[in-house]
Order: sequence, then C-alpha cells, then structure tokens
Amino acid sequence: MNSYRRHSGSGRKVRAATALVVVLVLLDIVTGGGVRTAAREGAAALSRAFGGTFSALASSGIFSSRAALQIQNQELAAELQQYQLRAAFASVLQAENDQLSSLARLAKASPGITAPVVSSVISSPYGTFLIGAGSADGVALGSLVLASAAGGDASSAANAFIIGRVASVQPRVSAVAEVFAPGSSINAIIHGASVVLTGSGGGNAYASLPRDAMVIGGDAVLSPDLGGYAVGTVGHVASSSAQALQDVYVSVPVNLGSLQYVYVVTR
Amino acid sequence: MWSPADLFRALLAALAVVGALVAPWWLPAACMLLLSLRFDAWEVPLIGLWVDLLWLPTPHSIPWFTLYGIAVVWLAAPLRKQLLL
Repeated sequence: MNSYRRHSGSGRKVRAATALVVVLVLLDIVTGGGVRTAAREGAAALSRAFGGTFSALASSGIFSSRAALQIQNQELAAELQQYQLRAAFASVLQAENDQLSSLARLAKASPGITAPVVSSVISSPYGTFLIGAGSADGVALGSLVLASAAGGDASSAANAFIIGRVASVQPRVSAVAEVFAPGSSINAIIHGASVVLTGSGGGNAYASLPRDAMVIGGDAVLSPDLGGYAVGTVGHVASSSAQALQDVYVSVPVNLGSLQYVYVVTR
Repeated sequence: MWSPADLFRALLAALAVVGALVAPWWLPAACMLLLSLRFDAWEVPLIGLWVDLLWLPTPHSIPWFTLYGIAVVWLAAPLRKQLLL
C-alpha cells in the first residue's frame, strides 16, 4: 500500500496559516503585546495547575514501585501509595519552604518581591523563563532577578546571585532573560580583572583572561552592569603555557532546573 | 475516523505544542521539521508563533521560531510534491 497521500496541490491551508501568523504578529504589535500576554498567562496557569501534580507523582515512587505493588496484597499496596504521596507532597513543601526562607534573607538587603517561576527554564530557545509577577506587582522592565544558592550563610545575602533581568512585563506574568542566555555578553570582574562573559545557556558562561591573572575555581564573579551583584562563580580554568590567554568557565551555583521562586528587585 | 497518518500528524503537533512548554526547544523544532516534510502542515507556522509568543524576550527581538516555521513549511513544499504520488 502506498503510504503517502495524494497531494492536494493547492497549499491553501498553509497560505492561510501563514497569513494568520502575520495577522497575529501585527495584532500583537498593535495591541502592545496583548496576544503575548494571553499566551503567557495561559501557559503560566497550566504550569501552576499541573506542575505540582507532575512533580509529586514523579517523586512519589509510584511508577518505580509498580512492579513491587503488583506482587503485594492490594490493600497494603493502596495504603503504601497513600503514604508515598503524602511523603512526596511533604518533600515538595519542604523544598518550597527552603527556597522561600533563603529568599527572605534577600528581602532584608534589597526592596523587592518574591515571585514563583511559572514555566520551564529549559524550554526557551532564547534563554528566557516566566515568573508569576508583573506590572501589577511592581515589577518593571529591567528589574534584576536573584536567586539564593543552596546551603548559603543564613545571616546575610552574600549567597544571592543575579540570574536574569526582566525583559518583558505583562500585568501578572513577566519574562526574564537569563544573564547567561546563549550569545549574551556582560561585563564582569573576576579576581580584580575586568572581563566580558559570553553566555552559553543553562547558567553557564565563559571568558578569556590573560594567563597571568590569578583565577582559581570558586572565585566570585561580580558584574558592575548589574548593581555589583554576583552573577556566578568560577567553575573551571583552562590554561596552557603555550597560550597568552586562559579560558575561564563560570556558572551560577543555583540549580535553575529546580528553581521554584526568585526574588525580583523592584525599582 | 482518523487514518494512521492523521493520528501521527495530530500526535506530532500535540507533542510540539506541549513540548514548547516543558521540553527543550529542539523538540518542537524537530516536530515542526518532521511535520513539514511529511505533510502539507499548516499548523507548523502556528507552532512557531506559539513558541515565540511564550519565550521571545522583547517585542523587538527577531521571532526566529516563527520565521523557522514559515520557512520550513514552504521550503519543504517542493520536496513533498516530489515524494507524493
């Protein structure tokens, strides 16, 4: 049997879809981002509605224990599932509490608000993600977005790192452009040396410094462009005696994939 | 009743739409390419627009995914015409 369809020949639907895309883009421009607002708020609502459920199911061990549950008595199996779900929800709440506690320390140093991350951090091709706060909450274009590194000193905000800036603001949702988005560049200072960091996505960046600059792993990387806040730490230094420059790889010591809350410094 | 080809097309499109929310960006890009190569897929430019509406940093940024969606569906048209009998 021929597995290919007889070609209709007209391409009318593709032309109509292309025209619809152009109309929607123009409508978005004319309305000042109205179409984008609707899309992002819808995506944020979906993420809030289903994100917690998926996390709880994934961490509950239900699927991994499926083989064991098939052998056990049905009553004991149902009871075990219930205890696993309760423990998983408690773990999720504990993780949220830990993040919020660390962000509370940031609030002492700078005025701002805590905002939930309402989208995936890995899905954007542009190095952006969405937060559940917007102009109605005091978020402004260019506001700095911080996160607290895990295990930091509870008495100060020294473990706060800039992870992005607000690039687009809607009433209840904002888009944050990561500091180390692919292709981005920012000025930074590493161990007193001024460098230009080039972002490679996922909270990673690299720079080239003169080989005689004394840079070691763990050195803080500060950015004068971003209020002097830390933007990362040195992860790896690649140096060769045959080259005049050394490659320094910087990363944000925050697991962006598990980020649930961020702190937005409002102006 | 949907044919297997229609079902495959619908699943690919759904995977691209949901993947734009939760999966790495290359998943919807790959789905868009497969849809364009196999079908006269009018949904491909719309999926590209969906990705850009979600993730484009500023209104002045170039909507690469939208342009990719339009380009791939039109550039694949001669190939589909060649393959389809």
